[in-house]
Formats: sequence, C-alpha cells, structure tokens
Amino acid sequence: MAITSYYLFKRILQMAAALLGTSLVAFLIFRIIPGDPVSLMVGPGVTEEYIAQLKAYFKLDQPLIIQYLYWVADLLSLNLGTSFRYGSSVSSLIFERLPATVELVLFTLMIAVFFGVITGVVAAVRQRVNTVIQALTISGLAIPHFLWAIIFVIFFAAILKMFPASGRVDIGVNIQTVTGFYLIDALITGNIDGFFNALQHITLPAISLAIGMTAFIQRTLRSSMLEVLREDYILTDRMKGHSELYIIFVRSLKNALMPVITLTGVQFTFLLGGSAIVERIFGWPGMGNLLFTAVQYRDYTLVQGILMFYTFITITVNFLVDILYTYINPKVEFK
Amino acid sequence: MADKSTRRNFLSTVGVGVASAVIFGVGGYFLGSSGSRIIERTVTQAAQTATVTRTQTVTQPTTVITTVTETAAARPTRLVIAWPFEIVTLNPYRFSRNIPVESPMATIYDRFLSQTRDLLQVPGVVESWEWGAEKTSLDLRVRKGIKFHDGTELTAEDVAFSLATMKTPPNAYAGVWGVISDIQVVNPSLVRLTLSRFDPSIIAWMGFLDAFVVPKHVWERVGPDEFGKNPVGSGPYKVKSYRPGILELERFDDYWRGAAAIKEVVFKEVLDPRSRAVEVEAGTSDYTLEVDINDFQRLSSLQGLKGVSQLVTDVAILMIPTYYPETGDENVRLAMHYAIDKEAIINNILRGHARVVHTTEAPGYRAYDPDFKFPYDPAKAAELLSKSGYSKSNPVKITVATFKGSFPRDYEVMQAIVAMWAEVGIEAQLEVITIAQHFEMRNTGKMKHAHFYVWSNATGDPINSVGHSQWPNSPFSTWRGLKAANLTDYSGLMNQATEVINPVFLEKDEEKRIAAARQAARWVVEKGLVIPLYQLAQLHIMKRDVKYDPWPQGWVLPYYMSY
Repeated sequence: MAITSYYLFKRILQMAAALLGTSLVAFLIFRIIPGDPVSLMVGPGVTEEYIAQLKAYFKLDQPLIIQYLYWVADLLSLNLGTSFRYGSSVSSLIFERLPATVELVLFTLMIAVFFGVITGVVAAVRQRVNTVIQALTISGLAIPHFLWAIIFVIFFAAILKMFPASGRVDIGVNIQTVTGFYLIDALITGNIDGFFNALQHITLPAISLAIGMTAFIQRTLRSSMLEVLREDYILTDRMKGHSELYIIFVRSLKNALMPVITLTGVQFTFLLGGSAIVERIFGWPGMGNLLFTAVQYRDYTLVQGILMFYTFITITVNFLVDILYTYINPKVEFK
Repeated sequence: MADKSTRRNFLSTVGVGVASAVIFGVGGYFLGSSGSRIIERTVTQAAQTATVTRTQTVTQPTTVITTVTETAAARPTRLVIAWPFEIVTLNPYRFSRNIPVESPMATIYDRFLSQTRDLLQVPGVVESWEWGAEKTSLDLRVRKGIKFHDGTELTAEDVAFSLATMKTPPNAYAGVWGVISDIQVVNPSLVRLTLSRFDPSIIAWMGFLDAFVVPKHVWERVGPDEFGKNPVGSGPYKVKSYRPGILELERFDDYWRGAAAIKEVVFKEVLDPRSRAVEVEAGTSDYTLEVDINDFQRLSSLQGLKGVSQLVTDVAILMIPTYYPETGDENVRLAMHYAIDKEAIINNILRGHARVVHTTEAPGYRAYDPDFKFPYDPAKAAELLSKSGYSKSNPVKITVATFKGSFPRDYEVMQAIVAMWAEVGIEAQLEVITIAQHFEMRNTGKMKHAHFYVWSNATGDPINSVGHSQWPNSPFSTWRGLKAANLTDYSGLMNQATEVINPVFLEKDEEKRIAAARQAARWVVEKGLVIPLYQLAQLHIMKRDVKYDPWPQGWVLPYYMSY
C-alpha cells in the first residue's frame, strides 16, 4: 500500500488546518482594506436608519470575531452563505460559473502538457534544436498571458476574423448541458457542430494561458530528462541494445515526468484564479468575472466563498497528485 | 547540406512572415486607434458608396458619427449587444446598480411609471396618480389590459405585491421604499399608498432603478432565487434563454405598447472595453457601449459602423469636505474652482465627449439654472489665495483623491486639474482610490481635501442631485463623515447648508421646491462646497443599419431599436 491510513489521517488534518487558515485570511483581508459593502449596495435616498438595518441584517454590526464564528458555523454545515450583492446563494453562483473556468483550465493544461512534454523531450535529446526551443521558451515566459490574450484577440479576432472574440459558443448554438463542459457535452450529445463551435471559442483563451505554462513544463522536463538520462539504468538499457525511442519515451520519460506532474497540479490551481484577466479579455463567462465584481463591490460572502472553494480545490488536487505519484512510480510511498 | 539549408531558409521565411504579419497587423490596429479625424469628416460620395457624417441634437445633445455604405440587404431579425456589465441574476430587486446596468431588466419588466427623454415621469403601468390630503397618501390607478409573458393580466395586486417586496430588506432600494407605511389594494385597478412622511421624490422613484412590476403568482410560486433565473415580466421582451454571460430575449408580441421591431435581442457579457470594440469590429456583436474614446473614434470611421456620443445624466464633481483648515477656508475652495479650465479639459482630454456644468444640476434636470455660470478665472483664483496668504511661492498644500479607470479618463482629468491649480498657488498631491474606498472615507470622515466623483441622477429631481449630494442629513454627503467622526467644520456652514437645502426635501409646493433647489444648487457652488466639472457622455458603437437614439438616462433599450 503506497498510502498508509496514518498518512491519510495526517493529510486530512493538514487539509483542515489549511482550510482554517484560509478562512481566517479570506475573512480578514477584505475587512482590513477600506470599503463599505453596504454603501456600495444602496442607492441615494436611503436613510442612516436603513443603512444600520442592513448592516444588522448582514451581521456587519457585530464584532469581527462574532461575524467570523457565524460564517464558520455556516461553512461547517456546507453553507457558503448568501451573496450581499446578488442575494443568491454563493454556492449556486459558484457552480453556475465554475464549469466554464474549469473547462478552460483543463483545456489549457492539455495544450501545455502536450507541447511542453514534446518540446521538453526534444530539447533534452537534441542539443541543436534545444537552442531554438530555449529562445522560444524565454519569450513564452517573458510575455504575460494577458498580453498574449490582447494580441490574439486583436490579430485573430478583429483583423483576421479567424476566431471569435468572446463567449463560449456563438449566439444561437445550443449545447445541451450534461456536465457543464461544452466540449464534452457537445460530444456526448452528438452535437458535432456545437463541439467545433465551442472548440473555436476556447482555442484563443486557452493558448494565451498555455504559452507560459508550456515553457515552464518544457524547462522542467528538460532538466529532469537530462538527469534521468545520466542514470545508470539508462546506461544499462543502452548496453542491452534497447532502441533510443524506447529508452527515451518508456524508460526515461516516466521518471522524468514526476516534477511535471507536481507542476501541472500547481498550475491547475494557479490557473483557476489566474485565468481571471484572460476570461475578462475573452468575455469568458467563468469565475473570473464573478470574482472581479465581488472584490469591486466588497461582496464579502462571495469573495470568501470563492476563496474557500479555490482552497478546497487546491488541497484536493495536491492530494490527487500525490496519489498519481504512487501509480506512476510505485517506489514512491507516503507514510 | 543544400537540403538542410533550403529547409532552414523556408522556416526563416515563414517565421519572418508570421512575425511581420503580427507586428504590422497589431501595430496597424493600435495606430488606427489614435485616429480621431472622423469628427471632422465631411460628406463624400462615390458612385456606389455614400459616406455620411451627420450631427443631430436632441434634449441631451447627441453627436452621431456615421460612416455609411448604402447597400440593399434583408433586415436582420436579431441584435446582439456586447454588454459591459455582468449578468448574474434577473431578479430586479436584489442588487444596486448604476443606470445602464438596469437595461436588461427594463427590457423584461415594466416600471410603474415611464420616463421621457426629457427626464419627465409619464404614465406606465400606473396610468395616473393622485396625491391625497397633506401629500401623505398616493392613489395609483393601474392600467388595464397589460399582460405578463405567461399570458396572465397585470393587476393592482401585482403592483401592490411588487411595492411590498421592494420595501423588504435586504432588497437594494428597500430604504427608499421604506417611506411607504401601508399598501392597500382598493379595487383591481387602484392601489392606495400611505406614506410615513411627505416624500416629493417618490413619483420620480417609480420610474427609476428597481421600480419594476413582477407577477405575484409566479414570484410566490417559485421564490426569488428561481425567479431570478426564469423571470416573467410584462416588458417588451421575454426571456428565451439565460445562461452565465448570455441573456437571449425574444419579442413579446402582446406587449401593451405594441410589439418591438426586432425579433430577438441578446445581451452578451463582455466586460473588457477593448474586447467589446473587437466584438463590433469583427461583426459578432451589433451594438456596444462604454468603449474607450480612441476606440470610439477609430470604430466610428469604419465602414458599416457608426458611433453615437450621448450626454447622460452623470455629472463629474469634486466633493470638498470642510474638516480641514485648508478647505474650511472659502477663499481656497473658490480658488480651486476658479482655477479649473473645464472647456480645456473637455476638449483636450475628453475629446469633446462631455459638457461643462456650473452647478450639480445639468441641463434637463428640473432645477437646472441656465443663468448661473461659474467662470474660469485664474487671476481671481490667485487673488483669493493671496487673501489667505497663499501664492505660487507659498502654495496651499492639499491631497486629492481620484479614481483611475472607473470613469472615462478620470485620472488624466485630475492630473490636468492639479497642473492648473499649480499655476495659481495650489500644490496638490493625487491619491488613487477605489469607489469602495471613497465610500468608506466619506462615511468615516477620512476624505482627502477633495474627491473626484461622478454623481448620477436619471430622475432629474433635485433631491437626487443637490439634495443627497450636499444635504448635511444625507448619508451620501461629505457632512456624513464629519458628523460621524465628530470633526470640526472649519467652514462653519453646516447648519446653513441644512437650512438652504431642507426645502428640497420638505416643500410641498412643487414650484417652490424646484425654485428652492435651484437656489440651493447655486449656493453650494458659490460657497465652494462642491465643484461641478462636466456632464459625461456615453459612447455607443453600432452597426450602421441599427436605428437607435440612445437615452440620456444611459439606458440601452432594444424596444426603441430597429433595422
């Protein structure tokens, strides 16, 4: 057994501690910075009495510790609360927009892993190509994803009109919702036109996000591959007369992938929040716009809910990455 | 070797080609953005193409810049609007909003009263209203023959239910409707409201913000959350589908005012202004608004598109708290105003997309005073400052808060003002804040010496301009923080301000109330308690075959659009 029950128990405790820590930070951070959510909620014509009434309704008139305890009590009953601004439950707002963001992030990861692994392997085994790849990698790392997004939207949407500028599908294209991921939903409902339409929409935002990540993966994998290729067992394989392709893709890559898996896990969680600007540029109706508005209007419960949700996903993904380690390399044990 | 060389050359050529295309394409796009020549464009005609620029004036002046290519084509049945605001719920009561944000709601629902382009309240769902004795009760007569989208008839019960829901916290404007102490359905077409006190603005509010009528039977059956996802209204369009970021509407053929011209309308959430510009340029949207001034001028010059600059009911002001010795000094406050060349700001920074105002009341507002002008007079500013012992060599030092990007060119405007002040002996430091911070600072008495802010008043009623922005009892005035933090009023004007502005809220004779408001609006400027700067314009870009005159209230109303 690569994961012991003691390890599981320890991880669960760590997860609980992380969630508690995040809850404190998420709760305090927007209360420390100036900005009164009630003033942002009401229009002209209201009285001081009504403002006080609203503050009482949202428990904002209570001491911070009491507000926090109320919120934590709700969290423990899996209730993320009600958005100050929209009056809807925070969890329903999150789940409405989450699929769009997750789909974008997963598609981005697919692109980045695919090209990152190929270029990483090639750069490790072909020195002359490596120079070209390194040059491209540096530009990939140097230019931030939102700048790629702006360049792409102007060039490919406005000038060449090759790709749509915004949205998940064209107006009038209906994809029956099953999972909330349009690409998958279109495929499983046999809506091929819908699939290609959704693919066309996701391409530019995903590439904008993937460029930098591809560069990261490429560099990480290259270093890792170079180390693995110097291992004794690879020399033994060569002496046994195995083909170079077998040595690279079967014997080396499997072990060299470990840091890439960690990186991909980290990038997944990073992209969940980090895709906000690209979502905004491409009019992608995901979590980014929701979070942006929540911060702008000091919608405490919505911001806190989103941050807690992200933390939970981060912890879960990290745990899954650990499990994945044990499958890829049975030598890895978590005790 | 030769083979490798050929391949390398080929790759180099492709690489250079792609790079050049990107650089020149994107560069050309940015270069194009700087073109502002369209404003001066004149009529040119070719054999098959007509390029026309026309300027049209309505109550709130509108500048229309059109580049038209006349071609015969079938009229489209759908209009897509690249929408600059998030669409999260269609519950009309839940969240506060600025004026344009409510446009999708105003397309699905009807308000109690309608409003004209001249900001006047006219019959809507409520076909007439009558004040009772002492003006503490109000009879609303409900129009017959209005149908909701589900086919049921709108009645006085729905009007009463909507009002009762609106006044229930935490609905955004419950505080406004809290003045209604009792709602009585007298008969199927008459609702009687009892007010806890006289409120002259209640009529204006019935055609404003969240004053929408919802069907009682649907709301009670599904609850507010579900209603927000699948709403039923009585407006000109009904919801066809709603998913995050996209609201598809279709014409309601039984609409009581008559069916809309365009069959389908889509509000598509595109929050980034440059992306909205790309949407209309690429042709995937037919209409957008709130684009950057550069993009507006560039897109207006493209064939097939036109730009409309519409002055709206938003007034940029400088709020001056008097709890600092410097701004407690009337000479300093007035010098700050005299030193600002508003025309230069409008012409050079806002490219003409604004209009100078002299009080908090813009043209078209009920208390607008065409006879009052506050001149640009830097010599007078220097003279006033010298009376208080300040000069260019010994300037008065202040800090000014501004936003950056919340309103068109807000930061650039303030930079210009700071430079103008420096010329007369006012040394100002700029501090960038957010709108949320502004509210917090205003409420807690922590404002800087002056704050840039944009005050909206689509009702046109002075209560919602000079009233709530300047009245010491208003939670929105600078006085609120002064009182909350128990600070010193160095101007000594707070009590006088209360007396001067009180009639705007309390006077029951409407003519006298408006006259008092006009006087109050003039007084606060003459005392330097506020510096009105300019009335903002809203920039719209639409396909050339879309016929629509934007509303001065800032609404985007597809009902009034056609091809």
